[in-house]
Amino acid sequence: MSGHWLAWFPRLALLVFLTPILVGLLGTWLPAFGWFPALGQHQFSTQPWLDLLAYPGFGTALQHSLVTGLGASILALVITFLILAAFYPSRAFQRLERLLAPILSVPHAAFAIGVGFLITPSGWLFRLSESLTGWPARPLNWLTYQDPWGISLMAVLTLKETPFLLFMALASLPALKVRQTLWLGTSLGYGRTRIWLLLIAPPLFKRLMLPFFAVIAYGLSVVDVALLAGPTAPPTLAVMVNRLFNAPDLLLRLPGAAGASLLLLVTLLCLALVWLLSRLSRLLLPWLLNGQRWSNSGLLRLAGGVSLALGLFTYLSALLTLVLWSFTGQWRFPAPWPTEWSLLAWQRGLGRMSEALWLTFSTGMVSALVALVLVLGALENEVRLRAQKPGFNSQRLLWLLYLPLLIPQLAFLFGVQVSLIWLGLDGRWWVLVWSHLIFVLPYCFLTLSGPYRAFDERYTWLGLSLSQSPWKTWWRVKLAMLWRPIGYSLATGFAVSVAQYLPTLFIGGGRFATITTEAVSLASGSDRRITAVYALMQQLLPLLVFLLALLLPAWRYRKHQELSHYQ
Amino acid sequence: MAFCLTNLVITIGQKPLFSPISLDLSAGEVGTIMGPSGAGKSTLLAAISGTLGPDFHTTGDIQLGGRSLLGLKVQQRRVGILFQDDLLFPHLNVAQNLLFALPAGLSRKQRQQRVSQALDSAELSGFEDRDVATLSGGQRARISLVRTLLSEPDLILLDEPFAKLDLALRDQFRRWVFGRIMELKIPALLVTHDPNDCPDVAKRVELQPHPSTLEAKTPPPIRS
Repeated sequence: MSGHWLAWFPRLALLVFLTPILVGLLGTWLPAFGWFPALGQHQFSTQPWLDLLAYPGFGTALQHSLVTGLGASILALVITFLILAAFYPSRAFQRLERLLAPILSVPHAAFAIGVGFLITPSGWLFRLSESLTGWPARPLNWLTYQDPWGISLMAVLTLKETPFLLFMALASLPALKVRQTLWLGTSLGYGRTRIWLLLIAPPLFKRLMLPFFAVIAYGLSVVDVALLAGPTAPPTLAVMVNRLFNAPDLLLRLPGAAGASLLLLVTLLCLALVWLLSRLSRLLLPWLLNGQRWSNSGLLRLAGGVSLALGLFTYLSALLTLVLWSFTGQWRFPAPWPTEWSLLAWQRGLGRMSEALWLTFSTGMVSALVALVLVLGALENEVRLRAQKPGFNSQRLLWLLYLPLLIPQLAFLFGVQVSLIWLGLDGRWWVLVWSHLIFVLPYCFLTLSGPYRAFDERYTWLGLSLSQSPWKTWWRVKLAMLWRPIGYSLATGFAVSVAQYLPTLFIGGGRFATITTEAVSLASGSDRRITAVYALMQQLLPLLVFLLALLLPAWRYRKHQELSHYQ
Repeated sequence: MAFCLTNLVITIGQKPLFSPISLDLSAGEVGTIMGPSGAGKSTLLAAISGTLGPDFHTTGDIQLGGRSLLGLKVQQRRVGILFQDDLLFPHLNVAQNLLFALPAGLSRKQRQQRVSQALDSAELSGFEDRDVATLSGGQRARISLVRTLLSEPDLILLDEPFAKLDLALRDQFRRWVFGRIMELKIPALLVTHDPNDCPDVAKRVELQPHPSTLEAKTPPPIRS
């Protein structure tokens, strides 16, 4: 490596997330094998693992995690492919693309709360049904939310992950020349379903592999959504581990650490399995090449349409429910609308959330800005390397970048927490920002790298030869032309930070409360009105930043036709 | 200000792209590089402007005003370039595009004056506040050249700048470009595959495949 100053950006970026992950993994694995000096445990043993296995409900919890995590991920992938196969590319799809940013910015917790208000036995869906059909007259005794089979959890996860996979797929689809492939396939008599199965899905899946892995890792280890929508007794393994980490009996942290480590192993195993299956799926190809055309694609369009409609309906009605509840004074059961409207929840909520709101905002903004600077430096360093090193390949780093998204948060956050306490650094704000940065950085990179790499470097050469100043060229030409993706990347980073639950809890050591942690803890209470206000604010914050990221460049480019249209 | 190529060869992975070329241009002189597509014309321009990729290797010498350009960065070479696409900065208006190219150290008034003079010379007076996207192809091409000239380069490279203009415009623009370059007394190097593009007085260099690659590069004869 050369000593150029730009070379420090990728190194710094790697340091930012590799250090805590490595330290955290070590700090979790050691207690998992009985070594935990802070609690006077100095004996290496397998006892924590045995304790974990013997813990009441362990087996069911593991099963819950596997079923919901894997199930939701696979469902999300299938639905993503269904929607794409049915409608991409089309004008309707372009409109859908614009909806993706606001949908993606909805924090997981807020969405789970909204869906809960919708489908619990006393939820809005049943209230509407009563006013239309007279059924049910009183709240049903059914377990429609937080059901013991994990169906509601799976549904929430699927609905939340599908837009992400769609978004990632849309980034790779242009390179796959879908329109031409469809044209070619159709001219040979194939229907959309077959063309997608044979010609588009395989290369697309290859490009979607890493995002899909991130979805699986997330689904297996998520805590906040599982707390809100998952089964309760026993909960998923992640929730159980989180409970062990926070148990009043401090020694339960040892089996907790074993559980967190098990979660990592299970995740890695599942990823390996999926990878293996994807390799094996090639064996299906000869069977698919049997000459059948499936020229009728009506069923595909129907399935895609239904998935799309269901998804959009849920997002919209979950949001509406939250809005209704936040303005509710009183809302007796079968009534379709609040029986009494009130601003009280907003007054009380806004009054007491100002501190959490500010913390959420400042942490999100600072971590997103730091991430953006690191990402810009790393990407510019890439441009420099490409101009200097023959055969430079930027793809090698991608796996490393995905690392924080492939390792369950629970698997290393406990170790980080322990190390921070040991170093006397727990409860500092900048450490909280750092912990968010671990997850913000990859997303900033993923959203900005495409447009940044696609920039026509001839503009830079021209700028250099015209102005003789690299800085002026970079600032006034390259960045000035890329404000739109830069703003988008910043907003994405901000949204990721706002949605963080576990890092805030673990790193903050209970001293920091964001809108997200507050919303999750309020949701277990009984006051839907105040919960709705928190969930809405949690949703509003990233949405506002996305809106700014959209409007500011549009205003900046208002007099420049070439850049003023929505990109 | 003289420009001089001496025994220049560009190789990629040991393979030379063309036979060694040598060329001398004095101020106000236009040289042309001809050759079929794929002969390495654009690569040659990249070597001169300093934007050659790392996979390429240059031997021989490139000199401008007595100093060798090899090893200098793009911004140190004082070589202006005009691409086939006009590459006007889409986020700046006409005046801002021109201001970007002006050297530092001029007063506000001087800068404005230079811009309006430049626009006059392109017969585009009063276009300062126009969005570049609203200009016609010919207007954009003229702004693009004027912008390059404002940066006061010691040499100007023209990478098929007429190829994308329609025929009627092409001839007019061509004459205007060569006129401006002769006025400014700087050497210019034009790359083209259209013999009509070359001014009568130009020194011509034909890019020939390098003898060592001839065998490999000759396509099989095609009978029609």
